[in-house]
Amino acid sequence: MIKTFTRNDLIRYVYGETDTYETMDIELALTQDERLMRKVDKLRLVKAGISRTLISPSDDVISRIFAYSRDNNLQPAHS
Amino acid sequence: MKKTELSDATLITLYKNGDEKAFEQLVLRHKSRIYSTIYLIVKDRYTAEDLLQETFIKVIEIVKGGRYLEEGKFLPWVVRIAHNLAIDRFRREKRYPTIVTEDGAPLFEALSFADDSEESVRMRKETHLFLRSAIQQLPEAQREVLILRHFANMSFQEIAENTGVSINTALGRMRYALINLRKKMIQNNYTYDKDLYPK
Repeated sequence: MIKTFTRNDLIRYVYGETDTYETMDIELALTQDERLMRKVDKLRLVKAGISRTLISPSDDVISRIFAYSRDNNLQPAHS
Repeated sequence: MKKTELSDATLITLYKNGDEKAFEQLVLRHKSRIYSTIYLIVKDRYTAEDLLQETFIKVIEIVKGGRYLEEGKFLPWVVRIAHNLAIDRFRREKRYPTIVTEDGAPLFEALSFADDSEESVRMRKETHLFLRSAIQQLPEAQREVLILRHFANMSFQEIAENTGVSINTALGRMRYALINLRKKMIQNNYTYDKDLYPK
């Protein structure tokens, strides 16, 4: 019998937060349930898209941050 | 030979002891995630750079002042600082969503488009631009979970603890964020072609 999963279970699976047994159960279900596979695929595609929206700041602001750190040489803290 | 990458915790320890290069490495390692977090909230690249600087000034003062508690979570900590500063600024200035135009194009430095046809590069750029704008328009609670999961690398459990909600609420917000983004993409004819996201 194919186990049923909540929508939140699928989110945890897509983000790699299910434990080994849950992962095995979901992956078995994916091989047997095309609708479930399509659902997971859709989630994965949006997730992949978000990861690709990263942007970088200008080199200027990074240089200013480095300079601030160098110019503010406080006493080394005790770790 | 590949150099071994030092952990954030090691770099912080070196920095506490006066090693500025260690700090530079930390900044370079995480600058895109932190900057993107801010930009997705304030929607303006100059304000985002200003707040990025403010974020790191806080980090510098806390670490050099000996007030940083090492818990192995440097990035989530900095992203939380950045997120809070951005939300404060956004609320103070009451900036409402603006349309992102092609002016944002030079900001795509973090994306790699090597070995692609001009057409697919253009399509991918447009899709990312649209997606970024769609993220900016998400309800605040959904956008917060999305940012903390994607850019701060926090687990849903950690997000729940940090934002004072149950894990099911955090998961639900993420789910709605993904559903909303997908809907917007479809409504605006941005196809979800697997080829848009090569590994």
